[in-house]
Amino acid sequence: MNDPGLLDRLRKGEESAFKELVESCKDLVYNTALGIVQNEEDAEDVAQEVFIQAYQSMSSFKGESKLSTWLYRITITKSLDHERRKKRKKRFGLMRSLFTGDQEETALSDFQHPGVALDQKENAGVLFKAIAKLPEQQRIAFTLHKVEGLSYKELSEIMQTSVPSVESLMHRAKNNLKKLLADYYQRQ
Amino acid sequence: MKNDRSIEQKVEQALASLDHVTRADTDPFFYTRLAAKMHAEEDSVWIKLSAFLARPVVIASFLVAAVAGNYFIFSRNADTSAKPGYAELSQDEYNVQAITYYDPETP
Repeated sequence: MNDPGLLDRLRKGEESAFKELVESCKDLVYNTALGIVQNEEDAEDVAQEVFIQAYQSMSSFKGESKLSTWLYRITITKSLDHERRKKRKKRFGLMRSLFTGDQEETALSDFQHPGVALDQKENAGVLFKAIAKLPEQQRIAFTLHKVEGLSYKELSEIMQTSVPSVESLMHRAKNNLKKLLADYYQRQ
Repeated sequence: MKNDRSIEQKVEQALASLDHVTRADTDPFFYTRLAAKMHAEEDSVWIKLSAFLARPVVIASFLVAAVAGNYFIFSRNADTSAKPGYAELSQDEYNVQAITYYDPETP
């Protein structure tokens, strides 16, 4: 993916090079976004935003890191921005419903990742709900490790931190998830 | 105790549910939709710019700026014309007077 020829063509703004990049990285971007935003339509919107951003800022990519690392970073930023926008919209909708009396559709659908085996769907649904409650950094580390299968080393490059920091994030994420899941199953 | 153990088991099962997850993929028309969105955004930049320039506030601001600029230039020019010029200053300085042999009082 870090083919210098492709990078040169991308910097020149060649459409065929951009198409090549999209075709080779679309699943990486989409799957990462899906793991974070937990909604297929939103993940597609985020993936489109990521590629538009990559196309516009290709000249700023110096090639110091892998192209995939750079795309992962853009995807994480865009996914978190998307979530914040959605939360703001929801808050605004709630305030508006208080003044106008209109009832907005607030039901949250259960997220089912399409890559999860059929016999694990129920458990994975519960786990995704718990993941959504984790602090941002822990959520990113856990999601990228589990959903994208990235190693701690790759995570440290993407998150621009050290491997021990990633290990610590993962340890805290697992502990928090255990508490959240235990709480959920106790209430069942 | 048994209850705690079953909860612990469920928690472990839930945590392991993503162990063999496969990557979710987009459909084959993703690039087509992306290209369409990018073209639409390119077009909308010019539409947004023209809409911004056509706003009454922007037009009024341009008009006010143009009038203020003209006024500033006009007032500067008016000030310099009111000041005595170099010829007049040197005339006063060296007490230069127009010399004429013509006396209008004598016929």
